[in-house]
Amino acid sequence: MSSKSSGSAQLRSLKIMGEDVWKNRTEKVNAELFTLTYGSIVSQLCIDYQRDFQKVNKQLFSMGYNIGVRLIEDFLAKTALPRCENMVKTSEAISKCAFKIFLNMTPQVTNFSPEKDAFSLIIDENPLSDFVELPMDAMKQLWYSNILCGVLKGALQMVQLECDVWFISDVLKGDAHTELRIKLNKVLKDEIPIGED
Amino acid sequence: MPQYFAILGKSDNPVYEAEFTTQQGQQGQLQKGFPQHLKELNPFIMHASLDIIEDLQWKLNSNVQHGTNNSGFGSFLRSKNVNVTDNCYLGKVDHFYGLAITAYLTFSGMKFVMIHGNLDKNSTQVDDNAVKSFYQEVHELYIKTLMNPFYKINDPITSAAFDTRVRSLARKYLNK
Amino acid sequence: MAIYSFWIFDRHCNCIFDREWTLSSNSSSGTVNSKQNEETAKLLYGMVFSLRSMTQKVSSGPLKNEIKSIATGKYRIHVYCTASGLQFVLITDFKQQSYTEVLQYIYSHIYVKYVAHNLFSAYDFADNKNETRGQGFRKIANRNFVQSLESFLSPMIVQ
Repeated sequence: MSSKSSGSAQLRSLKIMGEDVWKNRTEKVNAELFTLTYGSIVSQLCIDYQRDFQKVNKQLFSMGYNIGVRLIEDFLAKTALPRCENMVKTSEAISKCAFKIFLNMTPQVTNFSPEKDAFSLIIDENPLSDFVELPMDAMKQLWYSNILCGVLKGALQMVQLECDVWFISDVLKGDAHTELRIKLNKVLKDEIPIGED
Repeated sequence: MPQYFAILGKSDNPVYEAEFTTQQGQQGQLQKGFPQHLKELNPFIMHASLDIIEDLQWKLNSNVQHGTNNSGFGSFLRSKNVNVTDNCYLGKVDHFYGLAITAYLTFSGMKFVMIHGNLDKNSTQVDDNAVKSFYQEVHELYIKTLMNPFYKINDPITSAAFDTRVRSLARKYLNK
Repeated sequence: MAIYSFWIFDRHCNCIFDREWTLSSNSSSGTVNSKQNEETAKLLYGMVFSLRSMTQKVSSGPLKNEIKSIATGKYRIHVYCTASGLQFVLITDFKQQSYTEVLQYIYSHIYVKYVAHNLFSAYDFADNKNETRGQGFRKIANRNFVQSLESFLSPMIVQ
């Protein structure tokens, strides 16, 4: 009973913290500039890799990874959150704080696996893909917002959570909603200095 | 009253074209477009009017007074007080044996041209306000198309969504 | 109040930055990333690490318990740990009770700005497997970082 009420109190405080940091402590940039910049990155990658969309997906993922390993420091500096005890808390921190602070959106957390080590994020308004219409050949293979997968993987890796992150569906491909799945593979152990073990 | 609408680029390349037909549903008649012999002539008529449009596009308005509106057709020397897209609409620029041709210029030099046909063989009357609103809304749709990172400028617009929306705008504004 | 030295440790148990002020009257005295401090760094990290793991084992309840400061007879050690494994350590005298805000500022406005957001600097200072577990030698050599750290901490050193 007390753990449940403290759990929902923690959720609310995460939400309030996310909104407070978004309102007061983040620098804002023009949304259309951001969308157009990301769009030009993706379309230039498609041209450079000569429409080989698997390579584009991989490159977007690795770009996102490099962003994620650094973005986590920014996130921790702004929120001073300690390490989460389980994936439920992690999912809430990602959706209510992280996405709110960096992209001003709160994806829904759903589809927890029975062991509570995998969950889905449903994104309803993706700021990266405003105004985008995929050409016919890209529609079958390109995950337009794949950079988000890389960012999440890199960021979670730096807090010792080794995860797989991938897209399940995307409205740009004609699906009903945009869904991202995160699965925990293992918790990495902290290194101990030589002499302590 | 059927219309033939096209978007042309700076090298006169067509980017989009569509024919809008009227419906006479009450008597069960079919949609009436341009008569068959006129259909083939439409692109020619349109291109013939491009000279006049470009003339108007590059003409400098020498009567500009500081602070007055630069309404009507002609130059792009706009005053800051005017609503941004007011000067884009050029109105009826040409006519061809009873067909009227109206035009609209975007800021980057794309030309929206429309031929207004007439079923009654009289000279066509053009409702300026409705046509201007139509052009302005198509202009916004065109801007949204430009925002798509996969769309290169001067590419033909093949999106079905764009087509549907333009046709519904035509039904709304041009077929009263 | 006087600050004696400042250290940063990463999640591979390496010391990636150290700054020692030898004369409390002169804020530009002392060493940056000097080799002589390597032994001290290892001892310091070991002490912080052992006390941290002990407090976490002893504490009960869901919230993690982190040590904030360790006081000895001659100085006080202040520690700020982040969830990403970074530890910021400040060794000072006894005049001020808590340096948490100072360390938080250094993390969010100096480290994040000049090291994490700088794509030309490493984010993981152990570049190969040999540099983990305290055997590392790569340090933060970023001029902007060092300069802004100096300008932030210098007013606090002299007194």
